[in-house]
Amino acid sequence: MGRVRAVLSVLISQKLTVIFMLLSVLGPLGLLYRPGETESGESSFSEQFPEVRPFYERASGAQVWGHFDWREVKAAAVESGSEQGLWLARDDGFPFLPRGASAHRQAEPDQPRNLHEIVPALGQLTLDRCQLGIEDWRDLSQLRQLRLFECFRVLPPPGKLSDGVEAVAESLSAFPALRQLNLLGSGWIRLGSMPVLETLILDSADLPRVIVGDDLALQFPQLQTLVLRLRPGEGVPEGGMGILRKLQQHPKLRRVELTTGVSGQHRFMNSQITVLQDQLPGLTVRRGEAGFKFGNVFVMIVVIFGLLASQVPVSAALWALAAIPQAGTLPHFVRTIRGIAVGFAVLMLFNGFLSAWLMEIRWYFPVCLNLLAVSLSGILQQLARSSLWKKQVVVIFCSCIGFSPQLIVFLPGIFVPLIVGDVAWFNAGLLLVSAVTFFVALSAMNWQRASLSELSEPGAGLTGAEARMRALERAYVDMKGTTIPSPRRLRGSFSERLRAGTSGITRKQLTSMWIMVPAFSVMFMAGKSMTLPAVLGLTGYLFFLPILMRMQSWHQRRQRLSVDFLLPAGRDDFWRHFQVAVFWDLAIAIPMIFAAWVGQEMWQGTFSQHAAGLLLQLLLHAGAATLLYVLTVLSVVTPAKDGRRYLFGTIIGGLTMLMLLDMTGNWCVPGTLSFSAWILSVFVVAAVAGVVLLVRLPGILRRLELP
Amino acid sequence: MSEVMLEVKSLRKSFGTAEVLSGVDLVMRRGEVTGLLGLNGAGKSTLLRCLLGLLRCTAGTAAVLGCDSWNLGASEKARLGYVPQDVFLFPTLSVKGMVDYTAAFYGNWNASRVTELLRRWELPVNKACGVLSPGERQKLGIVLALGHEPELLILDEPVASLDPSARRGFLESLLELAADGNRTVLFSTHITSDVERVASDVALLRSGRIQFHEDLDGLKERTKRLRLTAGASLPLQSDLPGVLQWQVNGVTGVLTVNNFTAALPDELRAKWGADVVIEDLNLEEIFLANN
Repeated sequence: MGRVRAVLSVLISQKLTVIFMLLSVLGPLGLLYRPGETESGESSFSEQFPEVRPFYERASGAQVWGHFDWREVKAAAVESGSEQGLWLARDDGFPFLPRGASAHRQAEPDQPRNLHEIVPALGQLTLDRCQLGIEDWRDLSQLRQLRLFECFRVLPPPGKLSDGVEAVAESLSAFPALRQLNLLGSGWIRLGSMPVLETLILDSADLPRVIVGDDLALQFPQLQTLVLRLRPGEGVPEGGMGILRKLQQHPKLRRVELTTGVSGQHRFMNSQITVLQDQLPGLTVRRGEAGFKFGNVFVMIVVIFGLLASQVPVSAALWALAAIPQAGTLPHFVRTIRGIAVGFAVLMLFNGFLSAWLMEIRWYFPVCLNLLAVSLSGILQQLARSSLWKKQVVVIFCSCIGFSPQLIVFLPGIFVPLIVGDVAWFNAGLLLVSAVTFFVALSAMNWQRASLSELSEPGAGLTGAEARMRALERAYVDMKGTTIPSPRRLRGSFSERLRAGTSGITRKQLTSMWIMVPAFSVMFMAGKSMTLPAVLGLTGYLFFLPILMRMQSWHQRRQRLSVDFLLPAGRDDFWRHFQVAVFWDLAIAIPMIFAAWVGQEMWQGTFSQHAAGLLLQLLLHAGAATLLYVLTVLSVVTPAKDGRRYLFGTIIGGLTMLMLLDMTGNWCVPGTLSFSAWILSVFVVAAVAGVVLLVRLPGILRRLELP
Repeated sequence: MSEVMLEVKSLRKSFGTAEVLSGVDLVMRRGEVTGLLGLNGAGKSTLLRCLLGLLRCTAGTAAVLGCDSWNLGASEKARLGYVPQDVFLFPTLSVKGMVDYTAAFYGNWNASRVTELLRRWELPVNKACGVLSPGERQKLGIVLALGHEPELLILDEPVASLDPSARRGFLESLLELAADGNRTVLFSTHITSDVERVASDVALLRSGRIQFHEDLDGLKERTKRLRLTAGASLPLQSDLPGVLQWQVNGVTGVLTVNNFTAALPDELRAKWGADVVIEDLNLEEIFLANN
């Protein structure tokens, strides 16, 4: 009991732990009370198009379902505390004329008569499966500040269709501030002149019906982006292509974006992008993020920035905890890094809640909670310094704690589809791929590592070719140069022997990873939209743990470096072999990151375009990986009490998490624009720093002293 | 004159503004076993690390096996053995694994000798290094340093965490190693009795310099304590050369000198009319007298 009490008191005294615990509680709460959900937890639109769901959800605003009238609209708007956005939707699938229309106006003259009287400052309005009368449409056009208007499967006004179409066109043209118009499933609408419209989103099949007229530059003088929603397997109709050719002459139109709203269409999308690029030279055609709106983009940038930045505190926290034993020698440093860690952790707490509440970035939590489990186990391991098996129990225990809130949150989403048989069985194949990849990679972690018995009996177990290769070893070792020898060439070399000192995958590490496999596996099976690249990305995440553990193993070697340095090799040779050994121990990350990156690009369908951009991305990732490698080497050779060691460790942790998020961005982060813009700058800095440091590394090591 | 195995000239080493070594001179020849003595913080470890090329000299030179310490090559390192003050072993490797790991780097690994040492020191070969006691870790560190039978062995307080039995075993091994007269050993320690047991020479590092470095017998020969009983009061200050300690209590005094000669007692008798009793000193007393 004494030990338990001691552990608990220390845990509570750690501000970080309290924050982590709050996070694990508030995050799921945020998910549970996320607005914009029906009782079943899904909006009707997002249920139909799950991939575009994040883009259509509101940062704020009221939602009114069912047989509403304007009073209900007002009540909902006032109750929500926001009169900036409204979502008027039906939940029974039948056409409906709101009672806020003329009938209500006549019956109760004292009540507000129309929407612009109720919410005059309305900025966003969504009509979902509604049917408004002609008068209602005219009233709507009085919304002077409406910037965004969406019509999802809106029915034409009752009465003669041509009259309704004309009235609606007039109303739409009358919006003075309308910047973005989104018409999905509302192909009866005809667009007249819209002087300030910047973004137009519609079904490609509706293109020739919705846009009529010859001088489109005059009709939509400010139009910059056209987003076309393609049905899987169907391209842009010929009539629509004619419209697009007209738009090609538009002086302000910059890009045409294509979307299907359905995942796994990368080949189809690639082919369509190629077709349109050929047909519309001069226009940028790409796979788009339909429904991007300023409000959402802003929130997303904030959330994504916070999401990325919040990975830093976890790393910083771990390093701060690691620094605690040094408190006697580095008190100021520990206080500083603790303060930074706590500050970032507060941001993470806020951001976790915000992201869960607003953006449904539910994948945030597996990342956070796993790291939480790791950090908790780190704290407990520091406290419970006993035999190895006890530590293993601690790891398992903390991992379970870390996963429990996550499982509670996802239980309905995971098991309900399983129970009702609504499982994407195809994903079983993906699960298999994931499992195979997982274990293959685990094996690869000990890739080409010589066994100690083989080292003690040179030549044992070698094939003839390998034996001859070993005979060439000396010749190779004497070679000067910067090239990295292949593992086969490495056999028997000094580098290989150095590697033999770091431990391979241990039982404890395997246990920790094994715990995650079933959790992710169930998610794979339950997730209809899970694609192969997503699985690869997710699997890649698992591999980062052992890679980080391997790095830690090298960190521990710092204490032995002076003895290893006196092994028979010259100064330059030793550092060269040392770098090669570290490289091969971390090299497994390279194909993994590359595969995840390729998968991401495949999913986004961007391989058919932006070759220079792809090359740039590749180079930036390589640069960032170089920085990771160099920092690992430098942190290994930096004295344990040196603050630089912790700084390197923090950068390594943060950058690793950044790369992890980048390569898993296809399923974690809804948009790539804001994400790429932010991450690009970080990667540029990382790449430049990595290359510069790599060039300087031999000089640094040559001058290095080993106390 | 036998081969010079180790040579330090005017060696200075500073860490920031703090100068730890301020002009060290030291020469060791093949077959010598030298105990390096010094107070805590005297710079013993720093000197050894400069010799091994782990630290770079601020000024002066350090050479080992005829090669500049900072630029030791593979062949020189293969003839060199080192046991640090704190032995770090790979925690997940077994004792046997650790031996195999180290043996893989040397072509002249004496497996039978290592096995013999492991057996003699009762080291559990299948036990993980991570759970070895500090003493067992130290023993294994010494075994690993002896495995390739180095010509020059440098040990930084190697027996600090050993029990008396293990210490005796280590010293016996050290004697065996040095017995052929072909090995050179430099070891720092606080335990002067160990130096007396195995060292042929002793060096004292004080105030950043080597105060003396000579063979143990010679040191004892020239460092003596003389008890004086004079007819009149002895002076409070001595103007004699080579005085380490001078304690006076009226007509009696104790004089410790580091340049004792057979003529010194007669000189003292003639100077103060004193009776002189000559005492031999052990190394610990010499060490204390010099500090």
